[in-house]
Amino acid sequence: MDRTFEIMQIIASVSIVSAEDICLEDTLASIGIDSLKKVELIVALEDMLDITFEDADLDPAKLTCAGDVVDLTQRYLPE
Amino acid sequence: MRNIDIDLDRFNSLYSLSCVESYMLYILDANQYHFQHLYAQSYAGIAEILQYFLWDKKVYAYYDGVPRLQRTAIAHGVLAMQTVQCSDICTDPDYDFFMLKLHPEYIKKTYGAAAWRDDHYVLLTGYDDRHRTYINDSPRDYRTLTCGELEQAYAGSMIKLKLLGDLSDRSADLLLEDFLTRIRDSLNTDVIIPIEDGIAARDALAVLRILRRRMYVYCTQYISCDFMKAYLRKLDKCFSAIEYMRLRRSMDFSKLAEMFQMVQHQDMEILDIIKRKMGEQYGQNI
Repeated sequence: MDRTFEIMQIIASVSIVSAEDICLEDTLASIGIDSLKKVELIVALEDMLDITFEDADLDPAKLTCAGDVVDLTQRYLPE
Repeated sequence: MRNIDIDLDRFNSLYSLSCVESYMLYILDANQYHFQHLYAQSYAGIAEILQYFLWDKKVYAYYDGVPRLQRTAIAHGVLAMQTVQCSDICTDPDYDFFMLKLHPEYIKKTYGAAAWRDDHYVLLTGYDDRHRTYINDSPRDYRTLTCGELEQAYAGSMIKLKLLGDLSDRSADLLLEDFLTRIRDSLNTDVIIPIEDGIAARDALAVLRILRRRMYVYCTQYISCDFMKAYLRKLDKCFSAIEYMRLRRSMDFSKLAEMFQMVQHQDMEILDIIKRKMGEQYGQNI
């Protein structure tokens, strides 16, 4: 099941814009998510979706835009 | 007042420790100034940084281990800057750009969280008869408010900035000399500092990653610094790992100590390479 919108809502909850206004191509910085907020987002995704990311997947350099977050999170969700 | 283009991505390659530094760099970059030379005085040894946060228990928002970039810019005649307290927003025709201090309540209401420090400024970027547009560095944002709305958010202090001219070759040479002296004389020992405070550890890394990025940008003007890239990425990962532990309330201090030992070791290696390469380039014994 595609849970993109649900993930976008979680991204929005730590950003300064609403889920409807976020595009997959938007950089996290451009929607108000700096390096500290990025970690807050990871924690929120884990808590709200009941998943745990591997350390190796939490390289900040690999999570630059909303689409990166959606792709990574989808990989952890049950089919 | 001069209008300035809004390009929030510009902040991606600007390394600041405060909002005022952010906006000053933004203005210099937008006007094609060679601001990279201003990073010359931004070297602090890792032991000094750790000591500042972990021993002296000082906080990130007021870090003064290196001179503020605006101080360097003013000293070298790049710009003039003045802070004025005035109850109304009144742009001065003698100056080009204006930063406004906004009420903490406005910041909290608009951005959902408090700023790093109470005296947070935004940069005015454009205006017409009835509206003013500003940009905010963190979180990155721009907004257009009516004059009345902005007056309500305004907290009575304004920083005026006037560009005077790009850095001269003579200033660039002086700053290079300063940089070489700093890296030669810095306290760069493998000191063991007990880590008992997760926030202080995180803040030490926050400063370290900014200062080492500045060093990368500064030195890249003179030598190839690709050897630093993996280290810079490592600093980001360590920073995120500490913040993750803090948010999870699972701070593991032995893990932190290991992390810092590794960072200290790599930092010293990086500095040795910089000293060698810069020394070869400029024939100095550093």
